[in-house]
Amino acid sequence: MLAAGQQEKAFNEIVKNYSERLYWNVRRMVGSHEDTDDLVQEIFIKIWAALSSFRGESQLFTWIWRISVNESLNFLRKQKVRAALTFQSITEMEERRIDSDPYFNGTEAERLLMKAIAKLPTKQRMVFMMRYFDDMKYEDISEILDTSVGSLKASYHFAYEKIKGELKENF
Amino acid sequence: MTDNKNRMYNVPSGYFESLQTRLSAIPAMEEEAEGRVTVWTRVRPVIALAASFAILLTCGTLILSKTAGNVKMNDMEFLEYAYAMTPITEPYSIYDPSLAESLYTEVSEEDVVNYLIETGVSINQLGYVGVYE
Repeated sequence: MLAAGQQEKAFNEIVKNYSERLYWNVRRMVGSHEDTDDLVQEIFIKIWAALSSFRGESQLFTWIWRISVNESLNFLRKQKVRAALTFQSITEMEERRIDSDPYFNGTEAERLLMKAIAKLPTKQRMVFMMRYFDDMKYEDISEILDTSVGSLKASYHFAYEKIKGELKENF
Repeated sequence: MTDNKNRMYNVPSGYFESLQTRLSAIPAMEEEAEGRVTVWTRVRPVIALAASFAILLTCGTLILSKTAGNVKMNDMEFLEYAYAMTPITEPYSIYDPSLAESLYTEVSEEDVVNYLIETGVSINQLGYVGVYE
């Protein structure tokens, strides 16, 4: 349990050390800059609210990432519901979003890679992103997603194969 | 993090500096918001729900007392109502020998002709089907 002043100091340290990294993690998950900006603020509000109950049983990094992953999953779930209610395909919506993103300046191959990732089931997408883009260890991902290392390896393998297949079709 | 893998995305210039400033303001904002939460703010949704329920209950009771309470049926009316409300898909209600017998014995041909004339069937049409000659 931290005193009020200490808590604020700890929070500012988290902001300084993790905000940018967390932004990129969320950005790759949800895609648009505006949605990421909103989501990162919400994640930090959650971090602030839960900071007093952080007991150090897990690493600070995995604790923060778990909050971030849960918030991103909630966002993607809401997006799916919204798409279903408007009778739109979520994959097409995401493809359109990637194509019209003013802050995307990757190559055509990278655009196709992001579209292939967007087609993955949410959990495979999470695992692939954390492993491929963040170079995270399976042990850390296991703690964040509360899943066994074996299952994560399988998820990554399936995701990798699907993306490879998708890219082969387009080249 | 591998910056190389993030180069496909851009952010507006100076974004991360402004993000950090905004995020650092969260503790102060949250404390201020917490200070604004009064007892009234907390209990308001519960009171609103209870009031809606009470209004619904009162209106329902009033409507029922003005309508259902005034309807009085005798046994015969109740029986007719029960027959009318019985779904015709119920086979036992279609085949009721006692009812069928009373219908055939109590309704004369004259009653049938009168009924048809009352419902707008012309004399010619009655003659055509052989009921009235």
